[in-house]
Amino acid sequence: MSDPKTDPTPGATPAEPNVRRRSRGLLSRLSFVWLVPLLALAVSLAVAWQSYSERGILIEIGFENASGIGADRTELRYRDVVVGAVEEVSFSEDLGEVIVAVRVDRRLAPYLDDDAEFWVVQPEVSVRGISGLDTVLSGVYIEGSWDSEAGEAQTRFTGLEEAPLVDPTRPGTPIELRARDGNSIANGAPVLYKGIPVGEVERPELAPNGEGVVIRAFIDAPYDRLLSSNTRFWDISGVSVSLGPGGVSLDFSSLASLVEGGVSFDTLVSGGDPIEPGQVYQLFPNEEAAQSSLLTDGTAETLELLAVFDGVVSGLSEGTAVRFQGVPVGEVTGVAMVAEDFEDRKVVRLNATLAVSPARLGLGDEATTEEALALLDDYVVQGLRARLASASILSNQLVVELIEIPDADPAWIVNRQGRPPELPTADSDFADLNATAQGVFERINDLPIEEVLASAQTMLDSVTDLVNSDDTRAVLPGVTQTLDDMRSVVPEVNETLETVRGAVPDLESTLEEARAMLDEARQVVADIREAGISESIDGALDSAVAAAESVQDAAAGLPPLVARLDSLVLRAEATLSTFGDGSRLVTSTLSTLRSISEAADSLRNLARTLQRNPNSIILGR
Amino acid sequence: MPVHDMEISGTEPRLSTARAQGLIACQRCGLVHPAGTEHCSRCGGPVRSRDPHSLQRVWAWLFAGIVVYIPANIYPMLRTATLLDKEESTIVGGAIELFHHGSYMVATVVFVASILIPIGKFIAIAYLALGVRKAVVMNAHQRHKLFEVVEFIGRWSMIDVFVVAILSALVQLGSVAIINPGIAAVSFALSVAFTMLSAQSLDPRLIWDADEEFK
Repeated sequence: MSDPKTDPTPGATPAEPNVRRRSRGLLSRLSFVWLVPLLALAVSLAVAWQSYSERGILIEIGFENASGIGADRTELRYRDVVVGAVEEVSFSEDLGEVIVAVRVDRRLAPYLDDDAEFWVVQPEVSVRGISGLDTVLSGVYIEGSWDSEAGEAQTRFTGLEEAPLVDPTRPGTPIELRARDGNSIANGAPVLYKGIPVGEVERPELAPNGEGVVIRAFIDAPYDRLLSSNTRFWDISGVSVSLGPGGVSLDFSSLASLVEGGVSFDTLVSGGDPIEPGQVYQLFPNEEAAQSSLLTDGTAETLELLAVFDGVVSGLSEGTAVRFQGVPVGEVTGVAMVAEDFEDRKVVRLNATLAVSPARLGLGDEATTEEALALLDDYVVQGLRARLASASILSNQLVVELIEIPDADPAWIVNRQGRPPELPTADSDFADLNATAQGVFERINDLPIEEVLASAQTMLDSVTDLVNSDDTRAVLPGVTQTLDDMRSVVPEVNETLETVRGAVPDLESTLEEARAMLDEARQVVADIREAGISESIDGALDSAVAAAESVQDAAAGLPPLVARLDSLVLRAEATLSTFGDGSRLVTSTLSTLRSISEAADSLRNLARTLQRNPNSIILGR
Repeated sequence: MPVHDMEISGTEPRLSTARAQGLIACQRCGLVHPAGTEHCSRCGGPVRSRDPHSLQRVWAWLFAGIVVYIPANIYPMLRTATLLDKEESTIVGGAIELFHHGSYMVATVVFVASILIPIGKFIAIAYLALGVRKAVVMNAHQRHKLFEVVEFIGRWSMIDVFVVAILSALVQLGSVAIINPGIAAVSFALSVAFTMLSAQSLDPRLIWDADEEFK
């Protein structure tokens, strides 16, 4: 092929190509390779369609500010699962808020109805711990919350400033607490039941009318079953210091409740009605208030009574407990001062309205006020009177006591038009109660503590002298001997007891014979009645003689017993008269006495300190 | 050397081809057979003077390559999830980002390998395929040169796919950093493969024929 211009093989005709006509069908002319682009096109279109159809819907959430939210960066999460992403951050038309456009998974769209809530999750450090820590590194995200019921879908929402207390799907019961103020309870404070956290409270909000605060709370299932209309809630926030007979006690439930506050509840009375979500409860300042509230505003209606007390007393106020037989049965709901004419002069009397719970009077849960009144009527006839008494000697707090006073002047419940039934009252000696309390302190003050201590000291000194004296020391050696002797006495005592026990059967037989004698005597009497007298008398006398003899026999056994007891006593005396010395007992006794002496010194020092600086007993130094 | 031959063919207008001589070379093993032979006597492969379906295959693969090249540019190539951030970058987006970060060199490499070369290849193959049908006028030598370049450079388009494959394999550090390939990576790899097949499907003898007829 070096010279392509000339035919390399002249003369040789090129072989005729074997040409076959192909069929002219359109399909057969097409290469199967065309399937590849078709397939690629189909797959590409399918992918495009899929991503278009799965493209989420765009919702808009209005926030106060968009701290940390960035387009394409911030996620929307539902139960910590990413369900969307922020596409755009812009302003509303009046620049009043930030509009965050979020592309949300299409499948969730039907659930985004008017109950959907959105908030920005940020790292938060609180007493109960640190939450949202992951957002420190990953940046904030938007958390959404909605219930599992599809409603009318919306695309415009308003974001919350902070996370709501509970998401709607959390099982449990929301309730509302009404309190006087909200300064002790922080957002997220626990709701405790017997010390176990069973729910949370939200930030307190001012009530619509400005009176008091409303605290929304949530009790988790299954603890919400503990709630009934008789449930009482009370505040366990902070620390309570109480001074009582047991001394000073300091109470706080947990560190978290100390700082954040907390709420506890209990259902003290059974038989309440089941509650609806959103039930409103009053939040009592403490457990006692919550418990006593049951008496007055439980489900059962209360019996209103009037008690008129002479004179003006301090310490009687609304909420003062009413006790019956020492048990709280109600409280004072109103105190009014009334001036009355009494024997030509003006007298100021105190009208106290008492609310008494019929259930607490022992009439059962179903008791009506009429039954309670009838019961009290009977009691009053027996001498029941209302009386003021002091609740404690340390405060001037009073209680109204319903107490039975023996030989009281006859009185009864007075029903007057327009007034509650009036209970008769009794004079109480409480007027000098304060004086008494003061007197108690004065008396304590006057106690000759120093003298007592001085005498104690002299006594101890005497004891020390006694112990140290030679006489005592001489006495002590006999102690060991005494103990030995005592030990040897014991068998004899046993023996004595045996003898006594031996005498017992004798006595028993004597008694039996005496009984037989009595039987015979009865027989004699019967016989006499039947007129067969003389023979029976003879027999009876014989029996009596036999009985007397038996008694004499039994008595004969006694002298040796007495003699033995005599000897026992003698030995005991001998034991006591001999003391050993140098024994362990003596040394320990001596050391004990020395310790007592030292203790007395300490007491003396204490007394001196107290004398110089009396408030150290309160201040502790 | 084929280049040498081409040079000859470029300078020498008259050329006696094997076809003109009634000979057919096996495309697989190179054994020359007399015309009319249907199967190679050495390797058993089909022996044809010209592949009648060559152009069809070229166009088919080319279309497939273009079709899958579209999602390769729309969908993300890399999904990078680090502790702080999550990012999805497309081919163009990645190149632009690299450019903004000052890595002009890398940005250029990515841009050339992933954008210029594939698109240039589409155009070149289409041009060659059209040239066979005499629709375009082109110097025969340049045409051969172009064919060579297209065949040679095609594999270098895969550089992006390799980068993605290596990164995805290396960066799997749990929550700290994870790189996953996106849909675009698959599409792009397919696109490159399809265009390579397209270039291979072009029977170079058709170019010779076109040369002959053009002369």
